[in-house]
Amino acid sequence: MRLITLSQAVNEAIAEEMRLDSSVFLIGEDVAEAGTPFKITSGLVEEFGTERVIDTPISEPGFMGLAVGAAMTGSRPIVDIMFGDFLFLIMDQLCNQAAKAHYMSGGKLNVPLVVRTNLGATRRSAAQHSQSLHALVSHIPGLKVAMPSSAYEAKGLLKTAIRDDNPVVIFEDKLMYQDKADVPEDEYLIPFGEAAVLQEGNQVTLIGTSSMRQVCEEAALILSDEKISVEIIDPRTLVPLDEKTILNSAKKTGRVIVVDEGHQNFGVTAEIASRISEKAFYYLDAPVIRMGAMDVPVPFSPVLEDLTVPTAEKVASNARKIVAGELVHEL
Amino acid sequence: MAKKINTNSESYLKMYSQMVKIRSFEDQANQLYLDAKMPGLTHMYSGEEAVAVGICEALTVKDKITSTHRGHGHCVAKGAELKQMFCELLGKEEGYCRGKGGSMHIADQSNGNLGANAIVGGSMGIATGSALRAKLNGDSDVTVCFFGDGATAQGLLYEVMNMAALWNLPVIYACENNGYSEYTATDEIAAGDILDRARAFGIEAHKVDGQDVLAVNKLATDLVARARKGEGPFFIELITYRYHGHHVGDINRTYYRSKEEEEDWKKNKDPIKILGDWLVSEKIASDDELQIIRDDIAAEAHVAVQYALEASYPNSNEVDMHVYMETT
Amino acid sequence: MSYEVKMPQLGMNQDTAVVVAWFKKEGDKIEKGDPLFEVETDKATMEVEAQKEGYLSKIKVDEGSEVPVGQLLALISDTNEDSHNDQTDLADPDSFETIEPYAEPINDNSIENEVQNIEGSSNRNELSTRSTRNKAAITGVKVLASPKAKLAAKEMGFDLAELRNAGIAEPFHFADLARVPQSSSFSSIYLQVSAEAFDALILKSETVKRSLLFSKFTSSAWSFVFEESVLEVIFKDTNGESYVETTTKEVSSNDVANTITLIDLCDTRISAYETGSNNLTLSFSQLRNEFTICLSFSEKILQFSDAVKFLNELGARLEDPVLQLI
Repeated sequence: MRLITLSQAVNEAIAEEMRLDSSVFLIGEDVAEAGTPFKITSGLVEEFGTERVIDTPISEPGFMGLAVGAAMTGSRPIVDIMFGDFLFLIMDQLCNQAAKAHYMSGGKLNVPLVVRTNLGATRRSAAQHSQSLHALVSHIPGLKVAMPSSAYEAKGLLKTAIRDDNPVVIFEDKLMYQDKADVPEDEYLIPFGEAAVLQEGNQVTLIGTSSMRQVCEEAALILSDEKISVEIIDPRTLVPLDEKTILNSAKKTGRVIVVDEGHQNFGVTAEIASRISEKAFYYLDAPVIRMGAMDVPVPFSPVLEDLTVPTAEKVASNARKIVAGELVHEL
Repeated sequence: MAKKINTNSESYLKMYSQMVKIRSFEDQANQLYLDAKMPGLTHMYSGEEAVAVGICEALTVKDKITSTHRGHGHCVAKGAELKQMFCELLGKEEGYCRGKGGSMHIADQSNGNLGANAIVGGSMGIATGSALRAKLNGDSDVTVCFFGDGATAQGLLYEVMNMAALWNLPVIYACENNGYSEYTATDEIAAGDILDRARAFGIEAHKVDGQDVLAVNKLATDLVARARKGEGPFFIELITYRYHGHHVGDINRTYYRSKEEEEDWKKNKDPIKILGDWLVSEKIASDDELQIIRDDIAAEAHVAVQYALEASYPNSNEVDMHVYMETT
Repeated sequence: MSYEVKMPQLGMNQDTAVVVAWFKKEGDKIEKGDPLFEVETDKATMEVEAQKEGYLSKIKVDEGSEVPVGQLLALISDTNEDSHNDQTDLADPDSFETIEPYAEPINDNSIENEVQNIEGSSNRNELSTRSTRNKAAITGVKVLASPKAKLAAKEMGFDLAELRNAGIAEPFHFADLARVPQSSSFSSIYLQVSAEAFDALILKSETVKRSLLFSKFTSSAWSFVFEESVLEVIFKDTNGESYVETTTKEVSSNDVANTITLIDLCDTRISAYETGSNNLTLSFSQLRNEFTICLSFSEKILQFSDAVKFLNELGARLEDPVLQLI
């Protein structure tokens, strides 16, 4: 048993992969001596030097573009996008260039790079530093999207991402950087497209991505006092999505709540809920409930901000209703 | 000494042939489009041949280029085969991208062409990133980033030139200034002198007559050698002209440029004619010999088109192939 | 040799264009780059230049005609002689065909009328948009239930309206199915018959499986009693595995009118198996020289008198397998 923080887990993953493969380098704003605002990459520049831990000007489209070109010609860059909100700045390079190069070239070019960024509200950072934009990139064919839900997943998924031959966007929850989890000393990888069943149950399935996994686990604790049997699933990667595990659970329990911190409209909860509705319809004993972030820009005031994200109490309340055959939404 | 002249003569004739090859390719492509045999749309390089050929003849196969929506010339100049290019234009399986890219996305990585790009200015990051990779790995190749005057209005250029200058990357920014940003005169969209924009980052910048392939090649040869030694980046503005409209369907264009202007460039500043006249005056080749070169290449282009027209389309099972690369 | 002049693609979204005027007439000498004709699209009017020098040998499209992109407009020949004997036909297999306007599917009037009769509504527009839905969804007042509850009710042959009649609130969930005692539409009848002749038959042919014979006898008895009615026989073993054994006719699954599940209990000490479902089930057990056959069925599917006829016929065949050969 070795408890380390999510931040340390990410740092270890990068260091291990940089030791294994000299074509891996890290590029972004203040990734070297400063170690990023969250101090995630601290110490890497001492080991690997400024040639492989590259501080850039504040030019997200520029250094993202550089990473695409470097990846296309044999490097494996890890791009640090300081806040997930800044993904909007790199959209052309990520979605028009990186995501499409392999396809448009008929398989001749490929772009093995990782965009490391974050998501998550309730850090009192207001609307431009709090968004969870993973649904946005999940919509683009050619990109893979990983959503670690603890230090263990953060390390295993990032190592897999760095070794993947495609562009991968990995979202860490910025509120979880100091959360500790048991992370093995020995090397391990977590394959993409394999969801984790964190708790087995037969009355209701809670599907939670990233930190919403913890919300689901808390909700399950509340529900266990009421003798409601809960199954918890963490998809771990959105693209590729482990549809089989999700559908099997939906068929077993007949009741599903999908919890995700992206906006609810046209979001990850909508995608997962619709796949269940399409492919496990006849097993459903209740509507699939979506619980995403409220469809408002993230407000600053703590009182308001806390209203916008799904909470364990709300998840438990909805689970209680659907298990009892009560309506969550009016007929 | 005699051997040197001989070598140079070969190189001059190669440049002539390459320019003719681009012109023949574009003539055939234009005809395919007008005959409605080609899906989509395309942008003709005719008139700008000396830019692509002058620069690419200064590069080795290992050197990289990034190209633009007006990219057929770069592709031919960097060594691509006409058959595979026509196949790509027609969406055929044997195309450079198995028919998935089309005119605006031909990539030929075996010759160092990292691909045309349908986003104006979209490849500036890629070119600079390729140069960053070369520097990090200690590779000796140089990357040339082709873009038009219109693309100088994109912010990405200034972000990547800043980093290229900070880190002395082996990249050459080649601005093909054909005077028009789509359907608008460049004077109306570009403030100040384009060269000053590069100079603001401390990047050495040159202006050259883009219709004079020998002048372009001489400058490029010098800058490529210096970039290889770590003296980059460099910026070149090449003054040139496109004979066709912005795209093939842009026929009615007198509202942004006059027919007289077009005639003047075609008659007096044609890059193929300029080099041809010089080759004859220097007695490197006769008019008849040049005619034979032109006829042979036109015939080659014709054969390539016929081949592509008859080539097969991709199998429908290719539609979801190459979205992701299988990681081994 | 003739060169074909075709309607060029002039805009990104253009399918057709109008030939406004010809600047040359048949027989005229043409230089490459000469304005040849004027074209009008929905966006602009423009001159199209000749791409080839020669003589305008034939004009195929009159001024003012709107033609699709790629259509042959004229021929240019190398010499001025063949202007009246060109062999080239208009058809060009390589050009992009113009697409027929998309035809709206014709509404099925019979359904629409039926809907009107049922609902008595005067809003025709609303009805026509619904006419593609299946009738069941439009007719009765829809019972609200979860998909799982509906599927289970269907398998059990249970009418969810009975839950409504019992005063249970909708939407119904799976658990609600247990809240109303099922109506006793399900019945079982037993038959005992000698197994001697059948056992002798089995002993003679070692390769024939007992279950297969049961299936064959069942199918034959069914066909004998009900003639045209198709029966699918599913054999279920005591491990719970099921597989389709036989049908009375070569039919697609859509044609199967009835399914019977056949359970062989002869190797056990169990005497009968009855199900609470409406599906037909037939169990076979054996004690020494006697078979006990139990047919469980719903009177919604099989009338009592028919069930008696069928089981009697099956019993007769088991007792005297020669009947099976006739």
